[in-house]
Amino acid sequence: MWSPPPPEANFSKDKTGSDINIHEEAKIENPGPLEEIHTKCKNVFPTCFEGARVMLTRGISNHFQISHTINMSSVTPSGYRFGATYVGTKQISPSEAYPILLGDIDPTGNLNATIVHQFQPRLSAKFGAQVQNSKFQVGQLTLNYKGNDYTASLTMANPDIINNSGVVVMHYLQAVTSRLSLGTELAYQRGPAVPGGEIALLSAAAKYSTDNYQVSGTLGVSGVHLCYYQKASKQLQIGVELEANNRIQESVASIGYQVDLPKSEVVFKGHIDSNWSVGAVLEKKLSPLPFTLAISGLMNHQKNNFRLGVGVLIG
Amino acid sequence: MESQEGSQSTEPEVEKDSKEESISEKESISKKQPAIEGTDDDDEPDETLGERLWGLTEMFPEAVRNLTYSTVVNTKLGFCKAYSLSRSAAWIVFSTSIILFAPVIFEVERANMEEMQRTQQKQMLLGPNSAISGGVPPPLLPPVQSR
Repeated sequence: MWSPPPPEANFSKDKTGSDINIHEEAKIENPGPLEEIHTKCKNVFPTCFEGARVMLTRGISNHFQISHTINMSSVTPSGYRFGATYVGTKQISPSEAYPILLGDIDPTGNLNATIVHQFQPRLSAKFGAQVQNSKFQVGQLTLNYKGNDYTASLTMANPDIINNSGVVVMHYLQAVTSRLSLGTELAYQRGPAVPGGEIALLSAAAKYSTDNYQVSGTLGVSGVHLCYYQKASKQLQIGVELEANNRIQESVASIGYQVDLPKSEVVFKGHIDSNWSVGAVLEKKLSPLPFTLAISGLMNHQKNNFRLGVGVLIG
Repeated sequence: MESQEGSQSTEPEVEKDSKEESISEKESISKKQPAIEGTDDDDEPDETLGERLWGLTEMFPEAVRNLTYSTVVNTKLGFCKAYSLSRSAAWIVFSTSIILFAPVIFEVERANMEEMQRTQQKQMLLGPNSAISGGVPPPLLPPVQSR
């Protein structure tokens, strides 16, 4: 017969590799920034869009990439956006390199720009700016310090010394055990638009994560935000989210799921929530060609409207 | 009946009010009656069959009638509500499952079909045994031979 004999020499190597992994599991690791405790759950939910969208991405060189996006829609204004990404030469790990410069602009001059840089192995900074209608709308700087078992970050947004206004947010997330991490957030805002001139909000956060599921919650004066993420199988991931806002007296619960079909290169995300809104996005790689097709459907039973979106990503 | 009497009382003969005449009139009425019976049923006012049947309900006590009425009305309302509820529920369930599940099912079916076609093609090209050996290679002993 033509089939080759099974490789027997590799078995002994695999066994020693798995022994090492068992020892490393009990170690307490860095929990990641506080902003990202819900992201694992939120990534399961689809981002629905409306109308037609064509996106062309092209790498000019190893470090430089440009993108053109054309958006046609009956709800949001149609238009064109140009984006550029530059990835620097400071290689931290095989997948990470700094500084990263991101920007996109549309013909009327509305600009979003972000710079991310890791100054030291533990300290990283991120600066974001937004220009809208030729006015400097948002400028914010985030400093992130990664300890052995904690992450602390400081964000300053729209600091204006002359008008005495601005927002400062402090985050701290500490890993208590290898699975549980606790954190707090203190937000302080000052400005003429705020009643009383200044306001401070304190909230607490917790995250409990294992290999298969993750529970995260934020509890503050303004409301409660709970997330549950479960990896049901290799193909199916489920997320449940409950968001209750005290100020506008509203709470929304939603269930989302993601199905990966690697055989046919399809990612499907769906969600349903307590506002009677149902949405789904299907992303399919058209394998021999460098195209990705995305189809999005969003339906609201209460308002009785439906939005269909078709997108093509080239490159 | 009343209308007939009324019409007769207005006639000038009755106004003379003598007993005899009134008796004779009564006789004349009794004489007339068979003729009236022939044309107009039982001296009753015009009634449809429905009204007559409805009148029959008065043989039941009022409480029973009220109870029956409210039962019928509520049942009808309940049926209407249930129908409209099931209509919208069916619409919500089916349209939701079209958005949420249909694409996944289509894609899985399509992938399975493609896989089947591929194995079939392989079978046709390489013979019936190749489909099995293509998926899982049979554990063959390495050709170790004593020399």
